[in-house]
Amino acid sequence: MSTVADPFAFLSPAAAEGVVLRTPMERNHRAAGAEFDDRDGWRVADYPSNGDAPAWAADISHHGKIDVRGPHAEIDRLSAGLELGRASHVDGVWTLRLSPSHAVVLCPFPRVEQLRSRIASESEAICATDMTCGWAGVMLGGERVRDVFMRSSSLDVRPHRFPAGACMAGSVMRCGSIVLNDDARFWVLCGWEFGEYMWESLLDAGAMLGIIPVSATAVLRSEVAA
Amino acid sequence: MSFILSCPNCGPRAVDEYAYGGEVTERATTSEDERALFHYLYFRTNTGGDQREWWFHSSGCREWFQAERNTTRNEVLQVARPGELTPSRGPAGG
Amino acid sequence: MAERRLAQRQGELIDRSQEVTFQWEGRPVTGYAGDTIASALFAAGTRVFSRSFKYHRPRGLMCCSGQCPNCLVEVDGQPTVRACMTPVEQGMDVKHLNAWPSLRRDFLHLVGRLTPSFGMQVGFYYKTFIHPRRAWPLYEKILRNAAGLGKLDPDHRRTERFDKVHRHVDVLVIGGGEAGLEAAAEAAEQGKHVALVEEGLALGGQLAWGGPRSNGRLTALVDRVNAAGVEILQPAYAGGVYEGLLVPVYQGRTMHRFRPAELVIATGSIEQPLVFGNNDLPGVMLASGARRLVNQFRLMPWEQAVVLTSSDEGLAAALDLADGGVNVLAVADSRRDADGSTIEDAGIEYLAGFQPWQARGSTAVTGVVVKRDGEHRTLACDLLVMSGGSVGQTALVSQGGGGIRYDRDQRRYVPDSLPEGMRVVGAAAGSAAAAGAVPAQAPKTGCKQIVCFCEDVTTKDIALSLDEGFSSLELSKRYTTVTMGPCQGRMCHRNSGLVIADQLGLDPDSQRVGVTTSRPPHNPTSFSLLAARGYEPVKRTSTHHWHAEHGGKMLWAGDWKRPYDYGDGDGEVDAVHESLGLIDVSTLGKLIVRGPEAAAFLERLYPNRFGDMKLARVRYGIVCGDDGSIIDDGTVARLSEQEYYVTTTSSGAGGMEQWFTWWNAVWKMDCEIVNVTSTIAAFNLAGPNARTALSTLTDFDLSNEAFPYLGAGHAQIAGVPCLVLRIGFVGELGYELHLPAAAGEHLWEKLMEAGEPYAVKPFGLEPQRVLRLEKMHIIVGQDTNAESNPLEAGMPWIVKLDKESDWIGRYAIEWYKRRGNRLTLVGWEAQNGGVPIEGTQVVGADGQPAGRITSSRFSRRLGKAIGIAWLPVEQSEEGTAINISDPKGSTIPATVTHKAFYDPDGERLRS
Repeated sequence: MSTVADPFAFLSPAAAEGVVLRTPMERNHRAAGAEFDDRDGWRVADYPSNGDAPAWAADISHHGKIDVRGPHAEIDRLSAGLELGRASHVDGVWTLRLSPSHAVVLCPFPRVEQLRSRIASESEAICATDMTCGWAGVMLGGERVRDVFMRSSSLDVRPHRFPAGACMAGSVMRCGSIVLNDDARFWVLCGWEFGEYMWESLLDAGAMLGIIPVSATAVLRSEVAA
Repeated sequence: MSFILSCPNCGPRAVDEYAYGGEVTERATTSEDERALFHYLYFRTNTGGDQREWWFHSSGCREWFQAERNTTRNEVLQVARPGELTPSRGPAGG
Repeated sequence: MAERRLAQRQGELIDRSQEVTFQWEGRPVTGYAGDTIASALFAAGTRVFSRSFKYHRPRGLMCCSGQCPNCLVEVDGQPTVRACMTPVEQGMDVKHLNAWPSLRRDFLHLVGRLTPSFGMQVGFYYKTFIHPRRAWPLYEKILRNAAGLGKLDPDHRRTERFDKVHRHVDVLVIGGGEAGLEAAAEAAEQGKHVALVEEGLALGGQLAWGGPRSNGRLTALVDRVNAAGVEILQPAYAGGVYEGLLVPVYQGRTMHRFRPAELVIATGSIEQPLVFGNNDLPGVMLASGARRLVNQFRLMPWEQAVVLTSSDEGLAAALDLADGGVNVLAVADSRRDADGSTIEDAGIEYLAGFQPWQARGSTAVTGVVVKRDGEHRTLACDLLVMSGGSVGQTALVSQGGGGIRYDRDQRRYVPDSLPEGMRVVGAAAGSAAAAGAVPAQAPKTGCKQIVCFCEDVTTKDIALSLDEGFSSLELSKRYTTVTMGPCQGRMCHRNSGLVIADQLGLDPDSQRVGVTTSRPPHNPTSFSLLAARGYEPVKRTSTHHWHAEHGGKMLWAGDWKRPYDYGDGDGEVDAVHESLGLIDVSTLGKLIVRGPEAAAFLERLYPNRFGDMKLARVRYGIVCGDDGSIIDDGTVARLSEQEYYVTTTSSGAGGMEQWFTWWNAVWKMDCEIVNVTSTIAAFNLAGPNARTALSTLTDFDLSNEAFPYLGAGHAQIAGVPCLVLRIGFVGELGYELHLPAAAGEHLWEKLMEAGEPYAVKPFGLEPQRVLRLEKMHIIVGQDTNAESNPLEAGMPWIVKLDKESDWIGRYAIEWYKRRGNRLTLVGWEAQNGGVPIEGTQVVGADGQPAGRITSSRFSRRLGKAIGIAWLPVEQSEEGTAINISDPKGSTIPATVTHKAFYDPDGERLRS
């Protein structure tokens, strides 16, 4: 694919062919004894555990991500009037409204290229950028998920302040991050360059609570269903 | 310093989530008036009282907003998106 | 020999069914579960628990509530543990702190008694140990060993983990006494999320040790609090109140970092000692201390007690002690006209108007002398109770920004103005009752009257400090160290104020007396708790581990880890010049600027012209502040009519995103700015064989005709979508590839593979520095500073003053242009083999500093040291001879040059 309709296709790992795509946590997974699977070009960690622990963490960095910016009215329309700090989940796609002019879209990786293209084409004023490898991702879950989070961030995640479907941008482990409450599982997205640090820190925070690493495939709904 | 500052997008957060952008100033647009240019570049009002200033939510939404804060009590009076602060109660320093 | 305990009773903390054995000074002691170290030792007959800080006077239990320093011991190797606040555990190893060879026979106490009293007066380091001056190092060594409380083992390493948890609640109540429990229950019953913190051994405050009647009330309150669902942290203490109602609460090995919506301070009051001769003898106790021993630990070993007081509080205390089985001989009340009938009715002698003068005894109290006018009475006792009034515990109010004022009726400070969200309840807020005047000190006793128990400050020390001009509490404190010990004024702030007021003839609320500033931590706090789990964010590129695994010396470069070199810096420089090198430049800042006004936006931000850029081209740009100074540099590529791709310096990435978005927040132009620094990895393949090697991985036409210098193109390289920029920082033919970070390691490996036939070497930051210097490329922040403008920095061609639009820095640069350059940034070559040090001065003909070296390296290719310097315009002509200062004393001669040292016409770059 050498002609470029989108001059920023070089941001997208989806445009790669025959390439081993890696997350920043690969060495951590290897050191923990995980095996690896190929998932749509990504080297994805396969952990033996089934997540039966007080807390668990999964590397979801390979999930598709799109950064969407534009005038308020356009973002309103695109997100079906989603309020600030709320996220909607439709047909396997999460849309997070972070500011009047900024939304983040999360979708299974195989769909990210097309979805980005569709969003961008809705309006000239919309700027849709593939950020799949802009943010590394850790999903946290288990009964003690909030206890792990409270050891990682001063963001208020009490259930009545941060219910299912809520999202926010704020500091986690001293890095600017995006947090999504996916029904008692928290997505934590941070800069790709912080991925390894974030993984190690979150596992350390949960160490005293018995946190274990698990496979993304075990917990990402879109992949479990598939 | 650990006060709470509210971002118009994200709500109340500890001040260490933000980067301070200085006083809201009015930009000089000529080099003819040397005094006015240098004043804009190098002087600040440095009010002991209500001050209008810029803040950037660096650990959060990464957008700019403005605040009116009393610098002697370190009390935030209002925050707003750029250009939307409501008129002040009195002259700066009051 | 263990003391018999009183009969079991509600309110006791001990569990008589469980014995606990621990070591004290190497000998086994047995107590009950629920005993503190202090109560178990006291039950076993211990009366001397420590030696005071300076005079090594014997000290016994006084407050039994962690407020005074008398029971500080070492437990399992940890010094300064409060024995009265620490429950016993099986096998604990408890030792005394600062006595040698033992608590009973302390050598330093002997020294103190033999030394004339002026020897250790306040300021004695300077007065006594000043002569001879040359002996000070010896004196210091001795004093250091004599002073201090306990020893720290410098080799000790903690193995336990400490925790830090961020907490949000609706209401945080500090203090689990009656007022705190009530406030917590009430709030929780309204549906609020409430947490309560109590530092004591049990909930209840005064209700806990006040005797059976209090205990009944306490049980009901505790039930109510539990039923309401209040979260209780006990034992735990609030370490301070910081701005924004941030309250760290320390419980065991955890810091709970609370942000309540509302803070209730219910910290109660602190009973105060009285000041008289030998008031620190073992056996002299606060009323609340004695009552704790009787009511909570069921200990009553005394034959006979005397109670000293100046308030009704003391009368009630005497009656409670008597109820508990203490044989109270007499109550000496400094008030002349108070009603002592309840005391007399209980068969206790009531001495109205008598003040304490001197306690008798040497290692334990045997009696007390009280005086009224000319009359004196000597009363035998082995327990001397001080009920010296109380003060509110308002430290947290002050720390949190609240104000306090002196209340003349209560004779204490009470909270006055409170910040939003803070409330004070209970005894901390004040008491309803008026308080009696407390005698400040006893007249001329001839023995020490202790004001500050922690620091051994006597009334005489304070008098001396006032005499020497330290004429207020704040000044005297800094000289005598009163209130600066472990209790931080809990036992001595009130009394030191009274003593100073008395000695200066002032009212206690005079400004000259005043209050000292209360600062966190509120209680002694270990560094482990403050540090807890420390996390230091580190940025790593997608090829970080490849670098580390292949010899890369990974160092901090800002908040990134980057390879300094791979162990062969010289070889890496050579490889780039002679064949092929590869460097990871993923840390560069990268911004997308797109939209109908993208070009106009960039025109307003940069001194450059960008509106006329052709598509698929890249240009070098600098960003100036409005003062005309260079704040960043990078490249701008035009990828389409309305889409630009901007790179910035690595350390400037975040700052440039802020800069761009800040101006657009004002201008609100129709363009979007997206920070894609994280998303994109970037590698620079450079050297004469760059084209050949790269061609094996892609169909893209890399020929010089199709893709000349400063071109920007899209190519699939080894299957990875890339933006290829033909730019170079290192002076050779080179291609900078920008690609998705997830494919970084893959492409890097392919590039290394493709470069193998050409002996490709990865090169690090240091070889890159040498290479760029050979081309005289500046590094912003190294070769430029906050005053460097592009005209003087040798880049006048970048500044398009004829642009129509206003741009940031325009007016300052216009001004600089009119003024004319005073300095110039130039290159230089050393002439004698010397290598100047960065930051050294250029020496003018008159021997004065005339410029500064900003960059300097030895270039093996050129066989001499080269670099960049700022020079005055008059000395900056091509070929000028300059002298560079050298710390070794001489100067290094050098010649000014304006042309790049290596390939000045850029032939290799453009090949």
